[in-house]
Amino acid sequence: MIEFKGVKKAFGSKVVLRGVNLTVGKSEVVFIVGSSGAGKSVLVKHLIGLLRCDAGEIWLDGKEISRMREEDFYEIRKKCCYIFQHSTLFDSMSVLDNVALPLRKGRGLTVAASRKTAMERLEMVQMESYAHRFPAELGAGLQKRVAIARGLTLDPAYVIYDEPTTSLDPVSARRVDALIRDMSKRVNVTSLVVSHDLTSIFTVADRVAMLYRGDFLIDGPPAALKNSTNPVVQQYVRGQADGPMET
Amino acid sequence: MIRAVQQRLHFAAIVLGTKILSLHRHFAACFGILLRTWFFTIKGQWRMKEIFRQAHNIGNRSVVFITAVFSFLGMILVLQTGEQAQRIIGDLNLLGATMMPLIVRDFGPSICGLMIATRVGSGIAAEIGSMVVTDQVDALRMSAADPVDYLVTPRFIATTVMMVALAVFAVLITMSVGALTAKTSFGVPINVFLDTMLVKPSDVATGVAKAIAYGMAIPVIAGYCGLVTRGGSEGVGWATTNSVVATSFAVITLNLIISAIAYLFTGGA
Repeated sequence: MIEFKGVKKAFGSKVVLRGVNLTVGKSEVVFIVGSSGAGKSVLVKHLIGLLRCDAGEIWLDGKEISRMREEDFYEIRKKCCYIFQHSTLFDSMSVLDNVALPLRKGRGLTVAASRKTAMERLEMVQMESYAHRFPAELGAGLQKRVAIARGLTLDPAYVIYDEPTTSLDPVSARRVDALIRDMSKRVNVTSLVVSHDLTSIFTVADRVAMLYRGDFLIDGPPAALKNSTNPVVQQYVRGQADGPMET
Repeated sequence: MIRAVQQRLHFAAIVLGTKILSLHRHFAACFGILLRTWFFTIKGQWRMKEIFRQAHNIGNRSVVFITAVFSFLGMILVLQTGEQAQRIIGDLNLLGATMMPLIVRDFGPSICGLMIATRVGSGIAAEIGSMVVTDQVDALRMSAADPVDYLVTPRFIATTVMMVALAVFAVLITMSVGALTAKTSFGVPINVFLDTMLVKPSDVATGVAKAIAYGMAIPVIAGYCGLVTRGGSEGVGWATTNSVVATSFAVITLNLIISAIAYLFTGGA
């Protein structure tokens, strides 16, 4: 279980999070939505120690992790993986070696053993035929699937997706959606998804939380987003240029 | 009037104090990365393929650049000192012998260090900085790989080894081109110019110590500049600029420190 309790974060004078509270249960697929710059990625990066909160607490499986040292986050990152918005594959490595890297560094496996397991992970996302290609040879959708395979190599209990369908064509985006849902059903992975993609939200999410001006406006099932009478939420759902939403 | 001066002095003290504290923070962070790099160099697993790749980029790809620079410098040095010596003492037989200790002890490794600081240091800062702004360094951390171990250590090993090799190469080029210039311009025989009688073991040790020190300092400082990159392409630009300034300054400072230590140990003899 993930719990954010009164998390505050500011960058200089810019306050991004103003005491955010959020609880994510086992195997849930929770979408965090909000306008660009609302602090969605900032919030989820706290969970894996890529950012440190100014105040508040973050609990993971009954353990307070916000004050942990960098070295202690290595263990957290093994069970809590982060799929970056831009895939962030390493250009100098083949697809197979990209996926094998966490196994070598995180589990101390040999090159051969790590590649064998990496191939299994690539099979999970139907990317085994691209194993020996380099990231530059793949399109954005395929890169995203490799990034998901790399994230899954250490069998995480929690997967954080940062805008997984951004810059993908509709078909690739729906395949990534299916993969998120599949991971949740098949391997009981808890998913925290930062997204703007309304199609994804209404087809994949168990719950949606909308971040606005440093706090959550709503937190409930996808229908709550659609049926909300809040003008800001309505403007977001309808994608209107004019309205009360601050940019 | 006095109050205005007091206010300005107070403001100047705040600015100066902030700069000193900031410099201290950067120095401490850089030293921390140096310690971690040493740790990973001794205890970590050497990725030989990556080290060779970096050594090739740092060393082999600098050969043409170093050859050109040190050829010109060899020529300039001989022409300038030869002209002076001809005017003052008239005898040019000791031209090479007197130049050689200076080139071995200081000129070769230090100018080479500055060249590598600009060519290699900026490259390291730009490469790591680009990885930071595109989240690749965070992806490394997510893959349980320490960025210092993964990015700085191979460059550290490669630069340290190649810096010594390039410094030796720079000395050889300077002396060879210098000998040819002395022969063609002043008629000094090549075997007379290349007389090593004034070069002492301590000169060679000082030169090698400087090359090793520069080879260690450049990748660590450049790596630090890359790792603290913030923002987008503008941040990468600043990281590169900061790296060139800081590594060049480090080369000059280390030169002074090592020269002073060598002087204290050998007493200038």
